[in-house]
Amino acid sequence: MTHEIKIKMLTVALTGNPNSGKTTIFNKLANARESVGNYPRVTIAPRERVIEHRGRQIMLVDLPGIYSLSARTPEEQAGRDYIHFKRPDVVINILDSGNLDRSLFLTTQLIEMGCPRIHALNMFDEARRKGISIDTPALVSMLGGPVIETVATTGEGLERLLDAALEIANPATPPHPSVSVGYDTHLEAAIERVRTQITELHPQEMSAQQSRWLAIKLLEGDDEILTREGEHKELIEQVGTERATFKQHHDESCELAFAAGRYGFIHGLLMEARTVSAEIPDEALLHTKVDDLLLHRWLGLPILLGLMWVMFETTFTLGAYPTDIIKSGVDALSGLLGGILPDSMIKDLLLNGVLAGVGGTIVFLPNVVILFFFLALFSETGYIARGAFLLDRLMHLFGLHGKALIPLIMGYGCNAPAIMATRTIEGRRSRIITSLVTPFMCCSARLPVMMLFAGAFFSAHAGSMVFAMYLLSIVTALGSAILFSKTVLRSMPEPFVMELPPYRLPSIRAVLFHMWENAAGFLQKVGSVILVGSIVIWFLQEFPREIAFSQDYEAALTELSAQPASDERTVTEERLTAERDREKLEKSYLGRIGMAVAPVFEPMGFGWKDTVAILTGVVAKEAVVASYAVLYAQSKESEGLMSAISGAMNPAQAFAFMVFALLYLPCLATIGAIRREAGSWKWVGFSVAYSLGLAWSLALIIVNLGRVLL
Amino acid sequence: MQNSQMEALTLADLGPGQSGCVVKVADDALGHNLAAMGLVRGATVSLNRTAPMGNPRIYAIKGYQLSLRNEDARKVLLRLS
Repeated sequence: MTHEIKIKMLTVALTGNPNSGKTTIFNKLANARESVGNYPRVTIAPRERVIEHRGRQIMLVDLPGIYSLSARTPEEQAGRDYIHFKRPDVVINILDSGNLDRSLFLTTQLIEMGCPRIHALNMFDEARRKGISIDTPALVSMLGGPVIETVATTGEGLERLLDAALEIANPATPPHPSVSVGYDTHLEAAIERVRTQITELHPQEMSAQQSRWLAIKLLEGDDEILTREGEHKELIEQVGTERATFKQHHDESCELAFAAGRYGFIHGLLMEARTVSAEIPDEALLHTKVDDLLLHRWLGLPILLGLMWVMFETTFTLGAYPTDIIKSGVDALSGLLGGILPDSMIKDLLLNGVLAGVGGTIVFLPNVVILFFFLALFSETGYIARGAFLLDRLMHLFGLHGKALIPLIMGYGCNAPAIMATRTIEGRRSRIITSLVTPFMCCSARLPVMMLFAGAFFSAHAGSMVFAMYLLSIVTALGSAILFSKTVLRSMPEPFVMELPPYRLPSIRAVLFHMWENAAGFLQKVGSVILVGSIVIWFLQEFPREIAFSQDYEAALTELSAQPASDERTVTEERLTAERDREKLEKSYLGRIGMAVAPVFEPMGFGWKDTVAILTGVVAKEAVVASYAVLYAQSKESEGLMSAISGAMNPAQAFAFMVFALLYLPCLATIGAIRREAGSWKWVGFSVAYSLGLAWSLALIIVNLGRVLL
Repeated sequence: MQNSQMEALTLADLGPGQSGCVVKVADDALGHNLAAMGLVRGATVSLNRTAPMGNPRIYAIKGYQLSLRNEDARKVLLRLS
């Protein structure tokens, strides 16, 4: 029996407020022990890591940063459900020592749930510098669990945290005396009345602590708990009456009275266990000075824009150097494989399918890494919250949160990491709106398409046309944000309630870890979605193998090669090869699909070639130009492609195609990112349907306007 | 009369450097959100900063900085302290 307990893996959940240093502690604990065998290397969510401490396997779970366990936001819900239903062996409650007044609120709820807990007084050094001294031993009995002073950035106290977890989980350790948060007499009387009823309904099922917790939750009007107790009609009725009577007598809802009671408890506790020096520390004065500049009425916004510009510029200019190296690496590999492998279908698949698709996407890795370096820097220092504060007024006009600016700007570079950046937005509604509108931003992969069409049809005004597309993309994004916030996402109002954390110097380790984690996520995507997508497109393009050509190209080419070399021979050879490739593509599955889908685009007058280009663009927008090059059997760079295309459409159709290509669908990588950030395929489906519908209608309107006007 | 005058004061009316004591939040859903952030009956709040376009604003509460939009702050009733 004892043996069994010994080998059982210990589950330790980390909880705490946002900005409490919870994630830093998690990363520090997880990374110092990277060598443990079953360490899952590339998991993004849920954040779980198995580590080893003193010969014991511990599963660390990083719960989302929350201020309360009321289950009002998905994050709070996830946190509460985990602690309540999964019953981790130990909960490590991470507190910001310099901000105990507020961070202990979550603690009072943990106390009431009665879970085995350890309290980490994190950023203890910062608190000391602020002139705060804490009587740690006194807190142990008040909070009902070990209290450990920690400094996440240096790793101080983290070993002791794990030691304490092992000790608490050991059945031989006597349990800490239970603590309870006391409320005023009216609330206590109500709790007691509800609890009596609960014990009657669930005889002998619950401990005193559990029934008290349930009574409090019911009185707080917790929807989920009310539903769960729904079968007990009398109980629900009694709770309803209690709540109504309380509100009537106190002009305050039960839940707010409970909240005030909890802060009363915290106030009393801190009066005893904490002293704060009256002197304002130098650090705080410095922070105020920095804020005076960065949040300045006139300078704040220009500084923010300047920083955004630096981030944007560095991501795409500095990123270009490693991108070139990766690109030549991919080319070298492709050349090497081309030399070694015998001509076969496998070789073709490897070179033109896998390497072309995966290699074409992996070149964005440097951009992703640099982008996330900046995002980590801004969020770790506390600047992101300031940026959101500065911009909220403007973004609010469009139904967005102040923090939506970053993803929108980054969207001009690449949509997929931009959508990942929506993670910094706390409100779920704002996050979904932002991830739904970000794909409209004209990313760098769409630029070649715009340049090709602008050059082919509007050569005199090519620059203005491309700029117009950039404008159209931001107008569509903001317009759609207004629309979504007034329609589909209206039902979830979220006030802008945001903490401005004190400025903190980020640890290099934390920034690097953040970068690595996101780079890993990106590589994982390349290895899955992009890999499969590229193979599928390759197959569709290459099959069926046996095609009934309209003429025997091979014979003609063989015949030609027998002739003496001449310019004329070269030209004919090139023409024949190009025609053969075009016919092959036309009769491939991809070509057939293109022709089958083409009727959808008939009202705009797009042909099957345009359709195929549009379809391949779904995998990655870069593919649109590449497809045209293959379809028109022209080299991508050549002027020939422009002149070949320019004959196929009238200017209105070309403009319509540009608009369509700008808006029609998020690429596969972006779809993956939306799925992850919005949390469900439902939103992906909505995004696809909305953008397709919008792009199609706009293109149709443009073509018809063109017919009338031209 | 004095009472009604006091009732009318909201968080959005605080001037720079002025502080007040929370009496009540006039919207239950918002009240909940704010309660988790320490803004409950009896808490002391002061105005720290205003954004470039006058909205949102930053308030000091329980030793940290909290940013709120004016339309939300208007629902927090205060008593000057």
